[in-house]
Amino acid sequence: MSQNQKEVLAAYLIANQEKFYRLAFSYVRNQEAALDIVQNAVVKGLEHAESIREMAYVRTWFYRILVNESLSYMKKYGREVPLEPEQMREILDGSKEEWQEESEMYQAVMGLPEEMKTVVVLRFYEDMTLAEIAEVTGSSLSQVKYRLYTGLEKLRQQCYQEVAT
Amino acid sequence: MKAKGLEERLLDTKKIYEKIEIPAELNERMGLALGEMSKGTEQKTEMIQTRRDEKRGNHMKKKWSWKKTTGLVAACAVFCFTAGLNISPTFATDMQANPVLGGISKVLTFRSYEISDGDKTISTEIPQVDGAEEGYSKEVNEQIQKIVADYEAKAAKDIEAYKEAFLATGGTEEEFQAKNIKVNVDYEVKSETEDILSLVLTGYEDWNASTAVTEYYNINLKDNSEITLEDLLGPDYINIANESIQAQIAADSSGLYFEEEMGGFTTITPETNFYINEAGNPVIVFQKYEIAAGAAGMPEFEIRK
Repeated sequence: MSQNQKEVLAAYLIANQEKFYRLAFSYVRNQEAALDIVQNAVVKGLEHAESIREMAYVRTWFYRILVNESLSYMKKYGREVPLEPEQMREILDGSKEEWQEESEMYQAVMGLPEEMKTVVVLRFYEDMTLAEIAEVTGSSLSQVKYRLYTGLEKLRQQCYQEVAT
Repeated sequence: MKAKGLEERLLDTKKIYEKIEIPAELNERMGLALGEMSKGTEQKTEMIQTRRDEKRGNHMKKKWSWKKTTGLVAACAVFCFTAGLNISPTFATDMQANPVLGGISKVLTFRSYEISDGDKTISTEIPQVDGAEEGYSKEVNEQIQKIVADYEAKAAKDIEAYKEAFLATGGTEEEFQAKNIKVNVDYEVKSETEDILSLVLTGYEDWNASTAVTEYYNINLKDNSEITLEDLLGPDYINIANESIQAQIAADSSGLYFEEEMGGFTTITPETNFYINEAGNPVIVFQKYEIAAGAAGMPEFEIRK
């Protein structure tokens, strides 16, 4: 890896740290855990920096490490690390009235099984294409589509019952 | 209510996702992880590398050391052990003859000092068992001295590495000094009677919670030995403690404890850390993340005798 590539990688990691944190947080919903995941993912990313062949793919390459790190963290420390009450309040602060509908949907997204949640979060919050998501999750395009549609179906069932009337 | 399409509603929730608060610590963690990765010029990189070469006295030139960052994270891992103590029989008599010191402890005195350079302030209080000129009692004091010295040295190294990372990722010397990093080594007497001294030694660096160190010393002042869980709970102590801990976890409603198959609590061991509380009961302490989510801190369980 050239000196220039390393600088591009470091600059990319620094510039996008908040996105990494949010993604990790959306899995573990705990500040300490999310910080650990980001830190470990960056260390792992640097260790395997040689494996990036083209800097154009740095985003999907790093998200793959980050998602794997988040999932293995949860496998190791338990799936449901609850959101600390203050963090919950901060997130929903001021949104209770005006964003009620959104927060209901948001909580439903956060409650999806990991495989579906990964696809929905990357698609809707990180604006990734399905092809990019396939690369991040190491799965085929049809698997990603299947997970997206079953995820959306679950959300529809959960959030559209009351709204339908 | 207006019936929006599902995808449209999903996109609306992005603003909540983007409201996830970013802790100030993130930047520091990134700096740590990036280690000597530099977004700056090659010149800057070379400067950092050269400085390290001088210190190590080797001739590694401009070679990116990826391993270094991993080593740093590993070095931050919490370590913990309970020291086995044995104090000579004459020691108890010596100690009882000692006057009360400072109203804190009859058997302990402490040395306290503060070292400050531009980057950090190290405040230390080292407890020392009095009248320990010989035998095992001396060993106890030496062990505490060594742990404190090692911790200070490690903290200084951690902070130096952090500073390098901080500077390498665009921070300035002034910004780093403004952080006013503090290292504290302190102790707490958990309980003290004529017969028992239970003492906890703690070390932490205020910028990085994962560097915290906690050590427990439970001393039987009567026969000058280390107090074990077996001494307090009898030969069946493992089962007694396990049952009590399992019951306390089952009664807990926080949901922070891990399920057993997910790495949660299974059993204590003879090496499990504990202190003795005022009631004379052992209190078993687990490391952060050992059996529960980080939010639970270091879970403690009093085992009633």
